Amino acid sequence: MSSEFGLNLEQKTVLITGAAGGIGSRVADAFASLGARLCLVDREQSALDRLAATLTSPNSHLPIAADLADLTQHTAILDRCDEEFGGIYALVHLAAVLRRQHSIDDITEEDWDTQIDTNLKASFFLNRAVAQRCLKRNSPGRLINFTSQGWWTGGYGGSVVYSASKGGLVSMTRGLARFYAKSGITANTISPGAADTSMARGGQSDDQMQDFVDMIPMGRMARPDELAGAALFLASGLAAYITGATINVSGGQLMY
Amino acid sequence: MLVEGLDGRVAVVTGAQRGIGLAIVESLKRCGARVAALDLQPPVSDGVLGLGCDVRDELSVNDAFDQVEEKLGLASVLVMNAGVYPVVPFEETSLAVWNNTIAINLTGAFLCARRVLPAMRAARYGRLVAIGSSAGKAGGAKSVAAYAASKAGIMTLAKSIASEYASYGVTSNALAPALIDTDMIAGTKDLLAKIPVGRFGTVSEVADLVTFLCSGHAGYITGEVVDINGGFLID
Repeated sequence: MSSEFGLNLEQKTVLITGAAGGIGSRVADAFASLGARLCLVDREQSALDRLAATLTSPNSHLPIAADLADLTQHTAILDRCDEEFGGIYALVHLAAVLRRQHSIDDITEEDWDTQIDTNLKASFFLNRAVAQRCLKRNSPGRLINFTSQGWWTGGYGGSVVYSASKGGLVSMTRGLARFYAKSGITANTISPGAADTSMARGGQSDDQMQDFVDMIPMGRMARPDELAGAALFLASGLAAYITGATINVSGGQLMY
Repeated sequence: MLVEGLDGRVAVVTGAQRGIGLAIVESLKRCGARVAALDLQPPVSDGVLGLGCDVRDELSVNDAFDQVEEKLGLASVLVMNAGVYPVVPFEETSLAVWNNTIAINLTGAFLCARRVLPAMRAARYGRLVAIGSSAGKAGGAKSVAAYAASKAGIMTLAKSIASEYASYGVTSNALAPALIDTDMIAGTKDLLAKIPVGRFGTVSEVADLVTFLCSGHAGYITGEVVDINGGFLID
């Protein structure tokens, strides 16, 4: 996309979580190519450093390794972002844990806690902290949370906890949208369909993957870069009237 | 550099005389599309093919698309925007008002889509965008039963086309706007207090979303209804 289209993301500070992942890294690439300055968060510093080196203007980004489930780490991330870049404009939040068990009967309390803590609890506190800083600077802001088709479908068998966490994320984002609407901070979710990533393939046989692909009207999984466009658009000034929305990017798999 | 995927494409916009339709024409044109603007009276705009078309009338629709193909080439983008918004209490809604609303808002979209899809299928590329409404989801904040029913219809039409054409490289999506500042909503200004962002939307904001959905950056989005309503309807 272009300056003629008015995305105007040059020099905008964007915090991307889950940045080293299959989708996150392509989202980071798309924002960097439009001149945004990125704070890249994921668990492994080395993966983040490798990613940053591949991006447009590799030295203008800030890779920070952190475990977002540990809420005490959030302040340090945001402080560093403020110091380096003078405040975050957009949060693009992808960080999530998927523990796909074979069946519902196999799900443990620890599975539940791990996924809810990372995917939902950490999301709330990070979203709120970013919005609070936007309010303090009297600046517009963008909260963009990546959910999953499971938010609507409930998932299949052993991914029910992940799905519940992503359903919670949608509800939470809607509430944030209402609360922050008057302040020029929008909150939306992007719901990707099947993207061809290691996370999607994890624990799935080739036959299971093929069954999944067969359910997609477009007849193929998304390339991870195809999930970046919606994030660019929602982050831009063009999308100021869109809040509380969920954009499904699913190749037609999810229609409701 | 222009937004990817629109440069040189032929785009047809219905209801293009004013308001949201006119803004969509201007946005697609700015991004390099060759635009045909259809309305009852041919829209006049620099660098745009203005054509008279009554979307209720199959012959008129087919004639307009014949002219598009002759003058610009095969359409690969269709924005189904033509619509009317009669505010009438339900019991006073005449059959004529009902039929006319369905004919323009829903049947018109059907006729235009059916006319362009064979070429899109053959080219294995197409972008359809239907302008729906939050009223089509929630029934409408005013007495607009015919309008709301027609908009529910056009949003579902977009999904049906999405399913049937997904494997042909054609995407089909809808927007569900609410409270966009146009002549159409002159009687709904009292709803301002119910919009969380505290203002009406602009026609250019709707046009930008249409342009995004028509661009190369939205290739995996199909069968989707995108809300643009300032938080007015969060469903």
